[in-house]
Amino acid sequence: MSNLSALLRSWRSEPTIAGNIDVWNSAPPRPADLIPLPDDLHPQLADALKARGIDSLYTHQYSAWQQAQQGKSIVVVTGTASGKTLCYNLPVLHRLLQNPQARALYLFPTRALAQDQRSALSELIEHIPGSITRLPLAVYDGDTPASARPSIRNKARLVMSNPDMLHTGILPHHTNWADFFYNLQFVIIDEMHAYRGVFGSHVANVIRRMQRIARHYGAAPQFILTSATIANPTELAEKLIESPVVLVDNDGAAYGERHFLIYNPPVVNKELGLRRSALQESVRLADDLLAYKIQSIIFGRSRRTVELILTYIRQSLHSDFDASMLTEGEDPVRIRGYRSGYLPAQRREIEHGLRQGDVRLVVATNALELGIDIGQMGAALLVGYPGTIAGTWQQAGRAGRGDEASLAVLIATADPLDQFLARHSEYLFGRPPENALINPDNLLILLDHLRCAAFELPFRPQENFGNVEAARVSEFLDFLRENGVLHQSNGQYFWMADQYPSQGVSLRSASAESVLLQSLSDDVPVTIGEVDQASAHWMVHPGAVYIHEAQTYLVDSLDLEQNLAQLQRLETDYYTEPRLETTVELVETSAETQVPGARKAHGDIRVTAQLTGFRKLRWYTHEFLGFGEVSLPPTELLTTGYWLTLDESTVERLRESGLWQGDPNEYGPGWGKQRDLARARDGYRCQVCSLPEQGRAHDVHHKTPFRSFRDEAGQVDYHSANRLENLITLCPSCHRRAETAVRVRSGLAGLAFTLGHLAPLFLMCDTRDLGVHSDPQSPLANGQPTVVLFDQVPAGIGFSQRLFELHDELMRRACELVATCDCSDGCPSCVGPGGENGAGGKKETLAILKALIS
Amino acid sequence: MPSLSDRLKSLGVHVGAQDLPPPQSANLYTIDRVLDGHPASTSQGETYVVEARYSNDYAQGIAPLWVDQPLDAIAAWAHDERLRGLDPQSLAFLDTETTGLSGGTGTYAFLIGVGRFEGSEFHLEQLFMRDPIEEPAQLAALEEFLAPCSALVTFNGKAFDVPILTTRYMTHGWRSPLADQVHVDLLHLARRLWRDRLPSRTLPNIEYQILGALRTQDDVPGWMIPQMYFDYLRSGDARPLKSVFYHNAMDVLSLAALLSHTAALLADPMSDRVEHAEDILAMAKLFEEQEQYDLAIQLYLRGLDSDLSEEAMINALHRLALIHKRLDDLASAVKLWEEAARRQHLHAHVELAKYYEHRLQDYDAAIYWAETALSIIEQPGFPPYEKHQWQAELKHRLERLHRKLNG
Repeated sequence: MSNLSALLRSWRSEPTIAGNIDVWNSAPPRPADLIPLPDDLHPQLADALKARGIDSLYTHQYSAWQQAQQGKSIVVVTGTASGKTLCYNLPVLHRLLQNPQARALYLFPTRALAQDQRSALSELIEHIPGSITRLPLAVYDGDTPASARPSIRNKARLVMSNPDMLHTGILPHHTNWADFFYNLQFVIIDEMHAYRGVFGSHVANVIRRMQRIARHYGAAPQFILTSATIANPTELAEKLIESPVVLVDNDGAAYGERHFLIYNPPVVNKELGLRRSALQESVRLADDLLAYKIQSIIFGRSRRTVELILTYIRQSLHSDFDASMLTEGEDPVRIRGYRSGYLPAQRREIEHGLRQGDVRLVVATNALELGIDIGQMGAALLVGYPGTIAGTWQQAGRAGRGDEASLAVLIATADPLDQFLARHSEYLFGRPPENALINPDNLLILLDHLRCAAFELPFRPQENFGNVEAARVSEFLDFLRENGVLHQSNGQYFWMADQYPSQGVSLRSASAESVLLQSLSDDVPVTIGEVDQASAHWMVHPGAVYIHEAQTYLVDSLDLEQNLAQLQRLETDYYTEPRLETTVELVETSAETQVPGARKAHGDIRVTAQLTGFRKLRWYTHEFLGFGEVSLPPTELLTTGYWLTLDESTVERLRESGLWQGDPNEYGPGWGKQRDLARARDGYRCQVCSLPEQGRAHDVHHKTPFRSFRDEAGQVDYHSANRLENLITLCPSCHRRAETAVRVRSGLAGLAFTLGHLAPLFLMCDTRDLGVHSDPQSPLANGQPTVVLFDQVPAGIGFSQRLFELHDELMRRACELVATCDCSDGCPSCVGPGGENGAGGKKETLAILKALIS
Repeated sequence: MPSLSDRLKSLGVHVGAQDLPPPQSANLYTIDRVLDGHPASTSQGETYVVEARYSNDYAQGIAPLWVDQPLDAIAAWAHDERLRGLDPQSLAFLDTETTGLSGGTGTYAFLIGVGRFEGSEFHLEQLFMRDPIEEPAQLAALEEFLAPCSALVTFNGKAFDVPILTTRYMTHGWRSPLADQVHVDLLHLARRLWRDRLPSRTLPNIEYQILGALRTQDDVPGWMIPQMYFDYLRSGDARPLKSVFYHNAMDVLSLAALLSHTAALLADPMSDRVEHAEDILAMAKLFEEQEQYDLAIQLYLRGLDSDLSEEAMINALHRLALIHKRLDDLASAVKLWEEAARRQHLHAHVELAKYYEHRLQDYDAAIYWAETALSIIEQPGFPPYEKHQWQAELKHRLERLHRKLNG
């Protein structure tokens, strides 16, 4: 029996583990689906492949080849480690060998990936005679030394770069690349799904500029894109390159038996909805993996997690293997961390160690930062849902060597999405719900890139820009002319300014102005990033915990005049959540229809937000730790939103059931006495952590929330509410854990919370990319109760329209989520934590949702 | 329906550039009223040219535009034999005024100043695009002017003017007439000759310091020029352009004068006209690198005879000694090293130690020199990093010497 089988058997039979496995999905092994190498493949290329041990192609590689040979642009969507790179390398190398002038451009989202692909490709073409001179390939990015650049521009036939370099370093100097563009036949876009949201919208425009320049030199290259599994690969690809694309997804790669487990740490306090730490559980599981000698990788969401896991594992000792596995120094280091920021030499060392088998366990952050070549592991542990389903499979896909069995475990945290997926794993295993969305015509983004395009080549009369029609382009060009950067003559628009526009355009931000984030590194201020001015007040307010590249920072100050925020690197045990007073006003409705129980709409809105403070919440458990004070002037965001207005009839029905809008609570007569009795009964000790009272009385909390004792007529049964069995003594700290000092959570607010956490699952974005707001008397809809979700990006990035389209499914999923949640009256995993007076709003929210799905 | 401008404004885009001159409307001050030029016809249409001719006795400051001097020394310095014996009439002196410094395809050379010798005159043409739509014509006119020329002279042209002009030709799909031309970039030569003496080696500064020429108030600082062109495009008022043309003309004329001045200098470096010791030494070094050792030696000696700073003196001694060493005249070399060693020059100590060790096998003497060097670096105040380097070398040397002495 293999080690893995033995391990799985032991887990199945160990109740403290088996009991926490919410989902155990086993996919049977699958043999490869192979097709012999095509006859018309260039013989030297065929020989090189055979020299590398490749004498046939997977079905998807063959399909890619066929389509490419017919001149089509394609998008390849297959699993991790399925040989996607050959889908593009094969057609490209074949063309370069056949046509000595042809050129190809490869674009990767990170430099690390580009470097890895260059090494891999070099290894393949080594076997082609004369490849050094016939197939010169080079990486051309920010790290390329200046002295090497002219030669690459003139001679390299296969150039590997990234969108940022294309944007500032290549396109504005296209005359230096004249031969390259003239002969450009292929453009490869790897990891296409990375180009979504704001970044994707920018990249789509960079591609428009590139195609415009290629056309100037008479070229019309074919595109080959690769992507992780998402709901809309063809749509995204066609939006990025603005041409028809053929989908290739007939994955023919071989897979061994694959086990995917969702491990949910046990609940330690049911009423309060608290679970054991996912991090601690991961250490426990990792321990077993080491003991059973299964080479593994653990993914943590932050550097801090990675470091903690490394520390805990090194501390824990397992009797079955020798302690030398845990020491550094002269013994080979068996357990390594791996994250971005490591020097190439270090990465090589770890990768080598993994391939040799010396390194038994590697703990890493995001999969993409890995580059590709760490090889495959026996098992992968994901501590917390990585944020997207595609990302989950990419990380899980690290486990699995050839046809050997493999294991992936997703360890759920208390995050609502984690818990949702644990209960609805069909989202992971079925058709992917995630839509990677972009809006290349976002006004601000388009303006920036038209500026860059005008710098690159003057605009001719009646010239379009990608799919943007000439008339619209003219509007923008006239705007730029009026603002003094373009000169119009004979219908042509010339760049006439002393600037280099692409330098001022960050591909990752989308507002007119950005706030620069600075941190001190050895007393030298270093810019670590930037945020849109529109979001700065709630993302980087003084006291905020900000995460950048998996590193946490604390914001010291924010200067909105200078557009500068000062941060310090700090490991905190909490994160922050801003409290915003938000008002949402209508600018223009784009579409509106009636749906069960409500009206749905999407369109342009104005969101005015004022920061009034922030909450501190502990990582992973989301325990409430306290409030922070901060005040900043209100900011305005013009964007797109999707909103849902309850029908009058729906509200009426709810009101009749007593499920609409709580009134402020009073605990009634005799409360004081009951409270003292409860404390006495409990020995003046907190019933969760046993802390005795010290000078001040503990709090007394209603287990079943007070408002549940309100009957249909609005009468409160104080007697039942306040009976001793319903009361529990809690120290202030544990009390805070169970509640937050927010206003009573109403059904509407609960609905907003739920949708706000569920929608990102469909949009492939972070919860922070979506704003959520509810208002029982909303100006968006004539004072009717409304929930609105909006893009946090000025002028919108496409989320709102998609949510409008997905409305029915969204409501169904939200209803399921709330109905099947184990908590009694609301928790962070469904409608949000309960209110101060014990009112969670779960019943109310559920009633609304039921009305919306009939 | 709000306009695009309104929508962009509400999204935070700054709308309406400040201080823009009003757009063109029947303007009194068109270019032909302000400047003394004329339209020029080319195969690509019409452009605008201001021409001037300067007689042979015209001077920029003290430097005539042309003195009949061979370019051999310049050819040697530039490592380009094609310059040797070149007819001065085939030189093209080039300077551009551009719409920006950042390069890239959005930077235009709106004014190209180019000059060459025709018979006994210096013919200057300033090619100006009245509108970017005239660029093809402007470039065609430049190509015509350059046709009889086979060498370019610029100031920082290698890094700036030529790449920009090449880009301009390429955006129209043409091959640049500047490609593969013999190119003398006087910035680099100026650096070689005057780096120690002049803190700033911009063309106007060299013009003033070396050529003794002074520009009139018609001049304008380079950084203001792009905006003046943009304003002209918008308003049609050509009056401010006068100073741009003056600036450009002066640049081209100074190029010619500077070339002739430098050629004369290098043709007769021992001349009394050379006043500054630093210049003498700079030339010495230049000739040394070209292996013209006799001349270099003469110049170094002359330099050592002048008023030099301590550092310059020591350096000169050392370099001269190295020449003698190379020519195998060790006696002279040793004398110079001793002189330098007296002045605490560490390299000189080491050279002496080497000499005594390898040439004379006089290990005691060698040890003396090495130990003296060691005592210099061990003085307080000697920079720690350098000390570390020297210590390693000297200790190693002393060990070997002691071994040889004892074994």
